[in-house]
Amino acid sequence: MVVSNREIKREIFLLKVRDNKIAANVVPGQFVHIRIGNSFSPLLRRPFSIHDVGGDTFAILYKIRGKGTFLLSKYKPGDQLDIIGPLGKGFDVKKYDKIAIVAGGMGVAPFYFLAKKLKAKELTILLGAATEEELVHVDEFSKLGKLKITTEDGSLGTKGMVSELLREIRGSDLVVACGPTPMLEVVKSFTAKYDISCQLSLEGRMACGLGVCLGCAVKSANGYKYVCKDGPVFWSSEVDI
Amino acid sequence: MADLSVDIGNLRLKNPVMLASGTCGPELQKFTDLSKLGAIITKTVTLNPRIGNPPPRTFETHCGILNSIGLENPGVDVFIAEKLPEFMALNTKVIVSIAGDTFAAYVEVARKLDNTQVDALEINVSCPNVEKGGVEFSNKESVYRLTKEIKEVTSKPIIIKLSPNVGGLEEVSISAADGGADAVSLINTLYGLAIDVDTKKSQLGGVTGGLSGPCIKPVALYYVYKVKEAVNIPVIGIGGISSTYDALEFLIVGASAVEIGTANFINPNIGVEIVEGLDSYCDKNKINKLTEIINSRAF
Repeated sequence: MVVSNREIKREIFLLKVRDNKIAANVVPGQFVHIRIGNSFSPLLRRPFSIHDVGGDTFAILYKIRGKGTFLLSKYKPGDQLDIIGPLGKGFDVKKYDKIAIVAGGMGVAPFYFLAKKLKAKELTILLGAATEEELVHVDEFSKLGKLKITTEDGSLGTKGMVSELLREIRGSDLVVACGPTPMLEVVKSFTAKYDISCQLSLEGRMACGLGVCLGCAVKSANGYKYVCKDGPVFWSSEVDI
Repeated sequence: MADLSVDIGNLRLKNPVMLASGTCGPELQKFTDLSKLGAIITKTVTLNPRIGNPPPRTFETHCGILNSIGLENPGVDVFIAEKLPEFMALNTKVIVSIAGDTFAAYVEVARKLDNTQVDALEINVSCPNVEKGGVEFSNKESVYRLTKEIKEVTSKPIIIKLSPNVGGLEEVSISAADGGADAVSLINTLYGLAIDVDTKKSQLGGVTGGLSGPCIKPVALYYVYKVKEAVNIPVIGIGGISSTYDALEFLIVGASAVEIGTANFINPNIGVEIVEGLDSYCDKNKINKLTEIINSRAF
């Protein structure tokens, strides 16, 4: 059941849902597959990373991009939502002490939940967006780790792209990243060059979301892997993005 | 509970609801009860492994989906050793979909599967997403020959899965029946395309794809109707079935059974809901045996 669905930054919404089973079982990096409306338009479910968990509720963060997200923004408290989850494999962070999060734009979605769970570790967070109006949870992230911000228009933090700040995290033993593909490519080469373990949270067009249809394929060393089943979190060395 | 059973040749199904190839698997068991269905049909298996088409492999269209998976599968030997046991453990009838790029390849796969406990084979001669094989075999001479040669190596019920992509579907169905097919299933996905106007590229890595989902239902119904008039063997209806009402349309127009595909992506429990819906329909209309409504059209 929808608890709240609020626009927290420009066209960016935080949707909180009461679902005991998902809230109790989800780990950072996993996603849910949401049926929006109950007609054939949109037809397929839409996948969203879990952004936050608290008690018997979980939250997703989404930006209005097309018909599905536009309709999702119309849901009100008390509405029922048809949700399958938690799905996929989350971040594997247990063995690491110096962790860096690199989040570009809406790639920030899985990291609030992850950062809250990592409170005990040494955490650096690089957060980038087009403009200050699209940065979320800046205060909260600054309390969870060492936060560095970039905006493309310079409205907050350093002017530029988050991938330009990677030298700040050279000392990490694990980098986790999510964001536009060009950003992920830069992170992947950087971490490969300095031999830093790296996990990427990928997106892919999904049909079933359950590992059955083989639709969300991503190229890997030996054939294809699937974002919904083998991911969405992958070691950067195991996928070609 | 009404008697929902139906016979497809020697294959007795406890109800006419099956899940279509490429849309289901043991992974669904967490979300539904596959043992309540008439059968499930596996992803298409080929002689040798296929890695499939480059992504993106799917694209949502108006009330439909384009797919260009490209028959990715581990090959029949790995399938039999590793995947088949998971299917057989599901306590439901298992039909294996097969394809090949030569007649010999199809026959070899059929021969290997004849040594297993699978309940039937569905022969995919209509996949639009592979360069060799699939649709190439979908003409009446090839279907006749292929059906005959497969029947020679296995006694399992053989279903030939067809599509209108190459035209003459009614004639091809007759050839399948003449070749000894126990049933024909139709329709497979329709040729389709979508363009990204900004990049001017196809939305699919494999360029063209197959269209499925609610938007193709009227086309599927048309062909079930036409083929049922042309052949004496059972016709299995596939195409955009998302509800009990849809399933009934196919049964009334002559389908002995139905396959649910795309609808599984939206609701993994849809098959079970349709079985329950058919049972309610029979109760409400005082029908003892569901087969009474097969081909009961009033025109």
